[in-house]
Amino acid sequence: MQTTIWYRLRDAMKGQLSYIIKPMSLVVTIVLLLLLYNSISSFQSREKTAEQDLNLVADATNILLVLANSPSCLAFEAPVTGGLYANIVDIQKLNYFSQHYSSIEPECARNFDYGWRVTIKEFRQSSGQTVFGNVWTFGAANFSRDAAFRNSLNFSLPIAIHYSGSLTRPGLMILTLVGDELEKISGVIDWTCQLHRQGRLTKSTVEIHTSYPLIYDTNSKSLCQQSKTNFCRITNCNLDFQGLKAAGNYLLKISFDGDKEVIR
Amino acid sequence: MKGQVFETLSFLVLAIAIIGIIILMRVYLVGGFGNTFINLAERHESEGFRAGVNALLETTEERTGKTQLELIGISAYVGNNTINFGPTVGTIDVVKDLTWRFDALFGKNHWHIRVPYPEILPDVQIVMVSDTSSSMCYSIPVVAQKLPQLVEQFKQNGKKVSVTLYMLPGSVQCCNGFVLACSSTQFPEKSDFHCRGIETIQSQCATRLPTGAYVQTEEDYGDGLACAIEAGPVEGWKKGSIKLAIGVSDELSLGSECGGGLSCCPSLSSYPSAIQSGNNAINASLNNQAPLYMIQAVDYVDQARTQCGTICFYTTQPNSLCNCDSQTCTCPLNDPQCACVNVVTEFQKNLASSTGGQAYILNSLSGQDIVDKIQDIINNQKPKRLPSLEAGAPIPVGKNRLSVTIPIPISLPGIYTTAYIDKWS
Repeated sequence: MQTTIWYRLRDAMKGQLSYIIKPMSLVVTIVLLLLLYNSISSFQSREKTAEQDLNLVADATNILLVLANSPSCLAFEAPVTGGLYANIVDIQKLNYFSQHYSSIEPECARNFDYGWRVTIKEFRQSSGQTVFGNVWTFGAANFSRDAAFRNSLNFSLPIAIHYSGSLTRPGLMILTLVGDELEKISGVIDWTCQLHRQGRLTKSTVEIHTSYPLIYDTNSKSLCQQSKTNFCRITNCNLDFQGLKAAGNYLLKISFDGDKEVIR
Repeated sequence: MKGQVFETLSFLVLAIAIIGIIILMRVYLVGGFGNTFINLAERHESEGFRAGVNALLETTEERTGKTQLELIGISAYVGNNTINFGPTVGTIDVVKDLTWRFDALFGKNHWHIRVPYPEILPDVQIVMVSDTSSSMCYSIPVVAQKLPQLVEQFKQNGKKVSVTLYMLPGSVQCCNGFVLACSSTQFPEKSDFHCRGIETIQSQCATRLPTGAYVQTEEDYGDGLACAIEAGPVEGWKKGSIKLAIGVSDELSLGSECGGGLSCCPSLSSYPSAIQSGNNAINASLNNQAPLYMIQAVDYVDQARTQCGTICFYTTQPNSLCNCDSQTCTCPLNDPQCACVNVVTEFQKNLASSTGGQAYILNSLSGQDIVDKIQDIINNQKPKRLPSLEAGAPIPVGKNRLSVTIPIPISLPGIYTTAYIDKWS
């Protein structure tokens, strides 16, 4: 008799336990899966950030090295042998660049994803003290601001400034690199312009995002975002562009009318 | 119960698997990206540092127009962190010049440079000035014969020694037939032994000596040494060589003549012209870092050393005092001569001690003594070389740092050294 009661009680408890454990397992499993999903999303987001940082660092390095070492940019080229020296820049090219590229990046080191500006400071000794000598600056005059600004980087590279065969002074090339909306929009427009000039493109469609209204100032040949104040970038081609009156994502159709880049 | 246990266990396995996947992703996927980022950033840093160091070493020192690479190469060659570029440019402190450049580009106390200097046996360059008065008639012929042999002997032992012997004016013809002047028969020209009359460099050195200083007599070895040091040896002073100036005479500079009186050599101050001539030699020596070594030859005059006497010389215009045979005459000088050993010793010791050299007093008339002393002088030269150039802050322990090595050419064929440069944040 006692045995029968015990078995009945045990069967009843088994059922009760099953009712409790199964829903709990289900809930905890769902929580774990949500955690897994969240982790994957978080990893993807961090991957994307790391990738952007990598690109920024890589591009900053490339721009500085191209500026300092390419004969089309600033590199000093020995007059007789035509030899180049690592990170030695020519004073004449430096003066030319600071005069002619005061508000836009020179073609030799243009980057279509980022905008940049370079400042070169020369060091010298005066009465036993190290002081700054000449300072040169060139590159983009404005960068994306406010909501349109996300990412920037300051990098520097030691260089030597070659005045003559017997005078070369130490200096520092400091690069400010900004990769945001205005830089990307003007970059893609300039890139298509360049391809068109090379006869490799007649029309194109690009997708852009702008956080502010976008206008084209024909007088200064500049593409401007209108935030609290305007910030603009000079474009390579003359544009036929009515502008964008509001923030948002846009699909721009680009074609060419002679030398003019038509954007609709 | 068994079923419940298995159910619970399977859930645990599932939970552990999911947590494992999360940890795995965190470690390998994101960690991989992180590592790539760090690697790229470090590569940028190290390439930037290497390029920066290269650029810095190509910058020039403004007084000399020489690059830092050249200056380090010269320092390594001469074995000294300071380089003397002569009176116009002056001395360059290579460590000081490197320090402000590195401080400006890499930050104070964030870098260190070490350049070991190679073992280089420096050349020994000697300018030698000889008194050409007739009292030297006994020793100079021996010097003419033995000194080139000594130079050759050093060469065979692997030591590069060169001698330029400048003869003071006069061209006295000795009783033994030797003429106290340079000639190809008496002093045959060799690659590392040259004899020149002091007059060949008078115009060259006159511009570098104080106004009015020029070689006046056959015994004016003070001005003669000044002139020879300023003009340098025939091949010119070489960077990094051991520079020596040797004067040989048995008299005071400009002579120890009694000037008609018989009171010989009362004191050094009685010879102001000699003192001035000696000072010219001291100044030239100090300016050119060529110490003076003085060899006091034995005066023929007499062995009593403080008495005036006569001396033999050859003349074509004999007088009644001369003792002539069919070919030559030996005659006393018109004026009595003094050995003045004490005063000459004081004078020559002062020249030597003021410039880091040494004075030797010979005991024999033989010219071999002069050659032996020159051999001693050369053998006693110990190159004063630093082991390395080192600048910047001490390298911190346990801190990440960037290191580059740059080969440094030295102005000797086939010899390089290396600059070890470290930077940390």
